Amino acid sequence: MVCALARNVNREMQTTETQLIRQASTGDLNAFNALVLLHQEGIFNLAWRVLGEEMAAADATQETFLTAFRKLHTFRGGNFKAWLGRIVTHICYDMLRYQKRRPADSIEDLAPEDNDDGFPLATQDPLPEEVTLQRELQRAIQACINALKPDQRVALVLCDVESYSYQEIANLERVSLGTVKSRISRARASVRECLRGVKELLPLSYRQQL
Amino acid sequence: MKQPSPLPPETLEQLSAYLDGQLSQQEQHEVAQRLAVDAVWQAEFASLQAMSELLHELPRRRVPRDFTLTPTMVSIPRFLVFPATVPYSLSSAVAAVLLVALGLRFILDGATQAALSPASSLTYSEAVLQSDESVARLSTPPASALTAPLVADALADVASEPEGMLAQVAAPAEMVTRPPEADMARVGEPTLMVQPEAGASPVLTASPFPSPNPRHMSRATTTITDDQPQAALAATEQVARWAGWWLAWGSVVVGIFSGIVSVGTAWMRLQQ
Repeated sequence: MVCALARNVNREMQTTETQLIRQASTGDLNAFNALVLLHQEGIFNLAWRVLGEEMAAADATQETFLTAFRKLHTFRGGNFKAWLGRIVTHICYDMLRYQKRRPADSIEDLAPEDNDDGFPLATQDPLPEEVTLQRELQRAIQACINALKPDQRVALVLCDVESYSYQEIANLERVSLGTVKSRISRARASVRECLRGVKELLPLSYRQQL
Repeated sequence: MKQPSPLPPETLEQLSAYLDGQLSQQEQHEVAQRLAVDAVWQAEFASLQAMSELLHELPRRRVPRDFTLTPTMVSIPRFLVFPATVPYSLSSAVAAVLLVALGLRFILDGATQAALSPASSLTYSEAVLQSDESVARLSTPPASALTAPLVADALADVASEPEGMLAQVAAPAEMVTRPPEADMARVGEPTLMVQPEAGASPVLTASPFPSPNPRHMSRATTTITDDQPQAALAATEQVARWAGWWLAWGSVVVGIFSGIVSVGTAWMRLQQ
């Protein structure tokens, strides 16, 4: 019963999305902005995890929607989220290449810590030291992801953070399934080794297994 | 502190794919069987699983602002939004085309010269030697008149009658080539070199004036008198010719490759 309801909601959403895409492809900016509101969080988080910086991720997200609007006529149907994912990963690759050529300190790194880091709080009033510990863990994990090669980073984020299937990643990156498998495996091995170096930050259950 | 996995990368890849359910049924079955009995595999799998869960539980970040587009944003030309990529790629393509043109020009020039040159099959040193020898033959009186015993007399005659000797000796040379003005002043100083090497017949090189191109004379002299084998010079020229050939063709190949990559990159950017 619940599954049927969920399927109906999903189908309705897809129908709505298809209609919006059709309208947007005729130049209807309002229809396209409705699509932006549907997907901006996913695209921004993907860019943020790949790039590791909020400002860069925001730039990449904006550029993604601008490109998508201009290239909407090339969208041949199918998974619109995956299509946007392909655009944002290409933009992230470009930005990573640019960063590699011109390494610079991020303003975010120099600025004081942001209180709102989006961390889901388990209780209404967490202890300050717990919040600090969780924040440190977030930074450590992101640092481990940032240490990966760009292709491994994108594959890991798409698979383990954004829950894309191997086939979707292969389509998105235009590589074979074997390549995706290999990239994800290597990325996981590298991040695992990296996290073993900051075991004290990990929750106890993970600390024992890792 | 790094703790490398006790399993080879292939096995880790298999475990990672097993974790995501991306193996075939047969492989899935094999891995499951191994996992049931192998403690090392179990530990590695548990570790990968824990890490994957950890990443999956990473918090979602709220968007810092809305990314909706305004009419002004979509009216900005594409090249102003992302200015560098496409023009850079296209300029690389142009540079690649120029590289190809340059390489082809060298190759075609070389082929044309080889076709036009009568001594195209000779090495440079051989060609120079032949030309110098022909100049020496033409500018030298008949060998029968210039036997070694007569050289001293000839020199004495030149000293006493410079104008007469000049007219006599220089006449045939003028048919070959005309020396530059600077060399004309030295025309009256005939160059005679006798090489009375032991065990060899005397070699005589006579010229009423130095060669218009001093390199020819010095090279001819070197060729005749130097002990260094000609093979070394020929080998050097051969190497230089091969290097030039490879450079020219290399530039063509690299240029074509770079051109394809640059145009492809620009096309892909425009497709995004």
